[in-house]
Amino acid sequence: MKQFFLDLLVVNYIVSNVIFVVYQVLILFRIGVLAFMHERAGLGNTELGLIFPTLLFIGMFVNFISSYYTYHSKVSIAMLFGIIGLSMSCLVFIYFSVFYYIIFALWMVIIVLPFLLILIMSIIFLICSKFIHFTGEEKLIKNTILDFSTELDKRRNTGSSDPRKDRITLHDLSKRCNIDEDSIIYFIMQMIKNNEINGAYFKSSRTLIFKHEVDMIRFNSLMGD
Amino acid sequence: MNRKLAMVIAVPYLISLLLYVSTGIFIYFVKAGDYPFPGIYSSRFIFEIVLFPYPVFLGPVTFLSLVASLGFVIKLKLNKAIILGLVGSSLMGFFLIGYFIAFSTVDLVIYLYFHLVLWIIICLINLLLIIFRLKPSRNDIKIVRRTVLEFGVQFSILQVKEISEKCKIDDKTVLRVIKLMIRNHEVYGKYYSKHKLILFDYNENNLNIEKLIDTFNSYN
Repeated sequence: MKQFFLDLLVVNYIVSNVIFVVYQVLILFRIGVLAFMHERAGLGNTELGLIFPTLLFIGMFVNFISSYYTYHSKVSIAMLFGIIGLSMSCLVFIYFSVFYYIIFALWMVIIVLPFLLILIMSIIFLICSKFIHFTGEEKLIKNTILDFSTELDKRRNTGSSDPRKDRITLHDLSKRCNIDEDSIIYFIMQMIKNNEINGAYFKSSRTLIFKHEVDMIRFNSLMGD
Repeated sequence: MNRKLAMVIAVPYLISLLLYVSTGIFIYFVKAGDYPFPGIYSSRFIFEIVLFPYPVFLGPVTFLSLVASLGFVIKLKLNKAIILGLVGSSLMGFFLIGYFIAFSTVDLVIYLYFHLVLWIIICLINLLLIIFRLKPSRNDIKIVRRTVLEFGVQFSILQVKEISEKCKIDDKTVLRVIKLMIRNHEVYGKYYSKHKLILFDYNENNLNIEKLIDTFNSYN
């Protein structure tokens, strides 16, 4: 369910991003021509020709990176890039809205505003999706992890276990369940906390590693704890 | 070096870095415009090398390398933190000398003394990092040894960074202790340097757990 929304978001994101930026550059061009014609002081050629278009294109590029990560279900990174990209685009938009659009091209603001709103909505949805978890997802993730654990136990019992198979990365789990990695981390932590699985999650390698059955009470008593 | 110490070091590092950048910008863009710099024109080299390329090109490089160094301190990756820190502080030092020559005739010198103090603080922080890298504390070593022993009976395979994450000690100290433990048979396993992986002999560790714990206790 959430994945469907995330996929939808990617399309929405790219389309509104391209339209927003291309349109802004066109407006900049138009303002440049008008400013030249009216010999309006205050708006330098450097601002029009270099700094703001560059900022807009970098913003667009950063937003594309964000949509790439959204496509790969890495919501946190997507969110970070999305906020940076949006801030860059907004900076230019707000600057021109306040100082120049009202004078030169008010109707253009009205056209471009919905796309900006769509971009903002996309970021808000990304932020929400990090914290909202659906029940269907919970079942799917838990079943996948438990299946993996059962398979591992079987292999260990037959003595044919390869140590590398004790580990599963978030990327692999995300591929198996088709769910974003942030939701998977949330449910893994929940399962470890509730002792549903005997494993540990390592943030540095984004990996879930299953432990062997060991009497830790004996270990701790031997250590003198 | 552990996480707590890293955070204690990171705070003055960040503060001195921010002060350095903000005063640097202040000097270059606000104050410097007020002065004709009679002294600097006497040397074209100083004008061309010190006044223009540093703030525009090398200034951001210095800043970014020091910010990255700070990030690596927080992430407990001491080697990278030290290298980037040394690169940043060397660039700072080199241009600080140039600025002292260029601004010696105007009253901007007071800001340069302030920069000098900040530069000394950053250099001292880097020196501290080198000391911590070369000589880890006994307590840190004890924490790593315990964690490795605990993981050696529970896991078959682990990466160095995973152990470093759990015991909150820098990865170089962890690696050094692991190699020593394997060599002294304080834990049974093998280290693969190519992938930075430790393959624990889980069965052997569990069978000899009492002996391993005795060895561990004898060291403390």
